[in-house]
Amino acid sequence: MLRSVNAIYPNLQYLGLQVWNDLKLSPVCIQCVRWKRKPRWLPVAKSKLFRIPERPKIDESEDIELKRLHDRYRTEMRSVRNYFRQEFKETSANSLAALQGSKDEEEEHLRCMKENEEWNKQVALLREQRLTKIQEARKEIILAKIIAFEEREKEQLEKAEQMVREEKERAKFYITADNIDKAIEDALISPVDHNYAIDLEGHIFQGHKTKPTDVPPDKLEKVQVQGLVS
Amino acid sequence: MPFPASGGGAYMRYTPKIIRFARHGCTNRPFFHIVVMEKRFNQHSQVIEQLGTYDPLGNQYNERLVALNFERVRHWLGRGADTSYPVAELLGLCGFFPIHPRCYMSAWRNRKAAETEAAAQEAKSEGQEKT
Repeated sequence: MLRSVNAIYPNLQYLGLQVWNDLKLSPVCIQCVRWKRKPRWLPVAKSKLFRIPERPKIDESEDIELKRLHDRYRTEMRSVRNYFRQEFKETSANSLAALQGSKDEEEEHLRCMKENEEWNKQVALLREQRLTKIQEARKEIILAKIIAFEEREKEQLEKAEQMVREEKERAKFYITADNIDKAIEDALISPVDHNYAIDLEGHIFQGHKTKPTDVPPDKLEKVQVQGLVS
Repeated sequence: MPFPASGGGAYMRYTPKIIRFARHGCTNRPFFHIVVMEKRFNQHSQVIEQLGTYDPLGNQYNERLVALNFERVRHWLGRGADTSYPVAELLGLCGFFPIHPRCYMSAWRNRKAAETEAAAQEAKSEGQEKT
């Protein structure tokens, strides 16, 4: 039977129950509890206060017989249990069979280790060969690089020496304090005129002879244009 | 997640184990698994291993069927597992253990009750004959 919380609450209050704590009512689904044991802290009911519960009557001969049977049963069970325990011990980890098994396992392990070591040796040999090969290859590469470097150095040195040689040759025509007067005189003697004109066909007319008629046609110079594709 | 009924529970060392019934029937239809589990655990917590079944209601031939894996029972007893009283009685009736005194007791009580009932019946019939 379902009821709302408010309908149940006043009925239970006079029983001395703290409804929320004792009955743990859930507001979603409430089921009526018609009978519930009294809480521990409530005293014995008045009607039950001087009630003495009757002692159970045990048949004496039955009791003696049961005691005898129980004693016998316990003794027998103890021996049965000991037997099973012994059996378990014999078949478990410390038994002969188990020991033999572990011994076999150990031997197998040793054999495996030996095989593994052999394999390792083979692999080590192969590795050594491979490594030496790589080393040699690297050596060769480095040697080639060194040679190339040396050659480059040589070339550069030669270039520099060539430059120095050219410069030395050129030094013969340098204008120094000794021959500056002569150079000035030479310059004065031979004046250079940089003025010139060009006609549509690319003929050059030097200096002040800008009239085409001033220059005979066989002495005409032509402009040299770089990169011109004719 | 539901536990598998047939075992798989964690085996804890140094704790007492027990061979006992675990009720797996429904309302008004008991059916028991015979299981090994921790002694202090609830009946429906995960069991370590299932050793058999017990159907307390008789079948059409009025037989109450028990299935037991005796090999494993031996193993667990050897490991020091305890047995609950009902299981001990059942194993006694199986002939695996000595017969439990409670079995003797219920037997003689039943016998006594039958005798008294027969006597009462006889007295009643004699009374009817006299009148």
